[in-house]
Amino acid sequence: MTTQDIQALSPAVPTSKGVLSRLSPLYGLLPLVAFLLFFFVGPLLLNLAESLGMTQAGIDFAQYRRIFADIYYLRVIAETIILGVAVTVICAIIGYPLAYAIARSSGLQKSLLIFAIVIPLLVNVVVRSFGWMVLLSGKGALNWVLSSFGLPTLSLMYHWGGVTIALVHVMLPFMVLSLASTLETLDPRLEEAAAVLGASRFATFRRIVLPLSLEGLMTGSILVFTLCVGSFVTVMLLGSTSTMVLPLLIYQQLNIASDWPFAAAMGMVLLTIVMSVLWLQARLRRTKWRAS
Amino acid sequence: MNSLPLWHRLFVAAVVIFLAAPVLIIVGVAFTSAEFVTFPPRGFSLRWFEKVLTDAQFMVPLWNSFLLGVASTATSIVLAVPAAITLVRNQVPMKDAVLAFMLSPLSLPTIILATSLLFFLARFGLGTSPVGLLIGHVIITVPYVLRTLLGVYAGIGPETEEAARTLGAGRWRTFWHVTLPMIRPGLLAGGILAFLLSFDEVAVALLLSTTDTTTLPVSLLSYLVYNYDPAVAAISTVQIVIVVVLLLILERCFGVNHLVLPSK
Amino acid sequence: MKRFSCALAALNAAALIGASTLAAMAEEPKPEKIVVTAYGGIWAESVAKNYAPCFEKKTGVRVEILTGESSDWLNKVKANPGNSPIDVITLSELDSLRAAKEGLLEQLSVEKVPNLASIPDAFHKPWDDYGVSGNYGAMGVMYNSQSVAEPQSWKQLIDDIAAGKYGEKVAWPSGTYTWGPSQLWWVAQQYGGDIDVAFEKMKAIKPYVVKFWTTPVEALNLFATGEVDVLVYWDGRAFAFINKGNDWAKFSVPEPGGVVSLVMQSVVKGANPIAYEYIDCVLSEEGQVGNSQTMRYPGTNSTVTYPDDLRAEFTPMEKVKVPPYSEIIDRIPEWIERWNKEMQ
Repeated sequence: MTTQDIQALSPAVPTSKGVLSRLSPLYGLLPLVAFLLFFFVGPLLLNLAESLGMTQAGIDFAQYRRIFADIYYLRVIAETIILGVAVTVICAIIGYPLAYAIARSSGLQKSLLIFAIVIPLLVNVVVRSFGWMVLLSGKGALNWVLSSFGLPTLSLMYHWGGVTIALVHVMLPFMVLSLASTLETLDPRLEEAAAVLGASRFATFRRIVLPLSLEGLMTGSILVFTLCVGSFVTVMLLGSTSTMVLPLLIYQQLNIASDWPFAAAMGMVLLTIVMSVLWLQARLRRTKWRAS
Repeated sequence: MNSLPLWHRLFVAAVVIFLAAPVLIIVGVAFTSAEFVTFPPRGFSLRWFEKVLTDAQFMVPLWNSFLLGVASTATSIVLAVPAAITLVRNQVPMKDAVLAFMLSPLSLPTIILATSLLFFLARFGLGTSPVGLLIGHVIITVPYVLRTLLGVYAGIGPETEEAARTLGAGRWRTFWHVTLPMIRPGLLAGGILAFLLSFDEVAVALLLSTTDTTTLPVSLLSYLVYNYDPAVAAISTVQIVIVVVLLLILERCFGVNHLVLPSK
Repeated sequence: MKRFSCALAALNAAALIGASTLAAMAEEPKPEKIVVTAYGGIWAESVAKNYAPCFEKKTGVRVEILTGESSDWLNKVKANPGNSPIDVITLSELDSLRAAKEGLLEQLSVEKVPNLASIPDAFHKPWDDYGVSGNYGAMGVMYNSQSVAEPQSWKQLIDDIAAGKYGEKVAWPSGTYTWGPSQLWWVAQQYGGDIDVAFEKMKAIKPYVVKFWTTPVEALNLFATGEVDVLVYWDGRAFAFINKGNDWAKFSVPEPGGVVSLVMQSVVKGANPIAYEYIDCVLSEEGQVGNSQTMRYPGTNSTVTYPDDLRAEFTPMEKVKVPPYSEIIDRIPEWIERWNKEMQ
């Protein structure tokens, strides 16, 4: 903020009492903002400084040039985003009917469904990945079932296929819980009214349920996408050298090559990507609201 | 759910099987007598449970993880609830930017966060303290709680709260008796996610834990890199049982319908 | 009343977990302790069983074990100078060089660690005595003896894999695994030290490699479930598997020998000098034989004699090679990048 900006602002806040009464409704934001400013932005700046080589004199963009001047890294970035989008879309498609079922059930049935949803989160990511290996590998359970029915076997391990399946599996809870909690707030009488008025199930869904649950869909998508583009253990264990994602490269740089500056730069790139997606989503939502 | 069409119910059943399959495999493996994890499983034995339940290498971290999960969830809720209410109900300047900022920890890969946080906290003497570990986990869990809260709260109109205020309820009474019950689905969904995330978080815990604060995922991961026997499956099964018991207690106390359903 | 009984239920659940924890902890913590590091599982068990008792007997000080990975420990020490949560750190060969360069470690000497005198130079001199390895593991080949024959030499093995003789049933360490670059260096040595040829060869075997493995446990999983018949693997871990009743599996180190992995033990700068005693215990006869029995890896102390069954498994020192890490350390990031780009 320049001094002009501050001067431009100051006439609006003439007295200290005025400042307080203006800000008082925003007190609620303070604890979280302060917490994140210190404990998140602090380390983030440290990371940024590391990526720019600021421990020595001056600023050096060499690490960023390394990323953006190399078609390999650009491709990895693109594939990381594509994987994130694909997993998000699949989770939304699979998760929606499930969330709806949760919202429209009650009692024991509902509890069981909620429990079923969080099952994947109960097991450590490495252990879960080994579970998938047992299921998907050449001599695994899936192929055992397939071949006993005389069907051709599948090879899903060490490709994007297996990676995507395992990621959808663990991301689904985030999508479903987000969706279900907004669908809960939706009054079922709205749908009943639509049905009485002769709307088909699909029309009711498209015109009433879906628009009213957009907020939950957005929440779920943001959580799934951001988590997905940041995860690497699943990709490392179920993928191969040809299924590379940015966080896995970061892991290698930190743990094997011991190159924090390069890892830090890649981390900043990933952060920027996700922040842009968050911003874009906020933009889109606003234009949509304005249109409707 | 019984009112749903057959295809819908079948679909739900299929997805539930998909969700449970790899975990059921793990649970199955925990009861085998074999030294290795194979399919189909061979032999029945409780030896792996005996091993992990008497092994401080697993039990101490399990307790640590449990405490850390509860503490991170509680701290996240305390930070996120006022922020969510303010964001939805007040004119916040640059709302999109503030929101994006609050959710941004979601987008930093945890390994990067962990490394920079370690060096940052160490400057304040928190590099080896349990508080540092808690801070690290709250950074990770708080956006989930905030986002799920916003998702629910944004869909609720201000009318009920306004009515309460008009009828003379103070700010706190309105909050306790009107707002809080309305946002409960978001609170519980976010709280469950936060607890489970913290319970399973490994990158931050690896760098910020000490011999006294080792968490289960950390000890599990270092065990797993060099050993692959059903002990890992057994401790995972124990982990599942604990979470199930927790969910049951939650359900008993707050009632089945209140677990995710808002009180109307 | 309902609230109360719920609180009671929650307390009970907590108490149950707590009680089993206490039972598992068994011994009371003493005020004085040193913190040493170990990889998880059997490694940590070996430290608790073989190194810690020796040290505790000598000094009366308790040993606490921090499990994890080399790079994590290094970061913890680096971030907390003067306040290190670790006293004796075990690092990978490369991390040990890095840590010494940053001045994080104490230099060892025969005065401080008498048993150092019996350790061959190869296991500490290249590190300028800032670290010493108590054991070594050799990279060889574990194979399914029912379906494939013992590989004779690395060159022959690579050519046979590339010719499809083993089918698509091979697992090989990835260049991005901690010791991947070392194995890559070793392959290059088979072809006059030319790293380009090593990459060529890796590309040639790629169609037959089920997975270039990045963690030892996934590699073992592939072999144990029959996904692969040929696994390039560590000797000690291979014998641990074979000895668990898997007679069909055999292990051998092809000519002219195998590259080794070391566990570099160092005293962290600023640690209590009593920590040297711990390293002396690691290098003592008691520590060496005990650790070998648990881990199936040979110790480095040349004066120690082992039981026959153990000796039969050991890859003799003449057959192993320690890569010149101080020479290749600067090239490793480049190799990793090249591996990522070329091996997809």
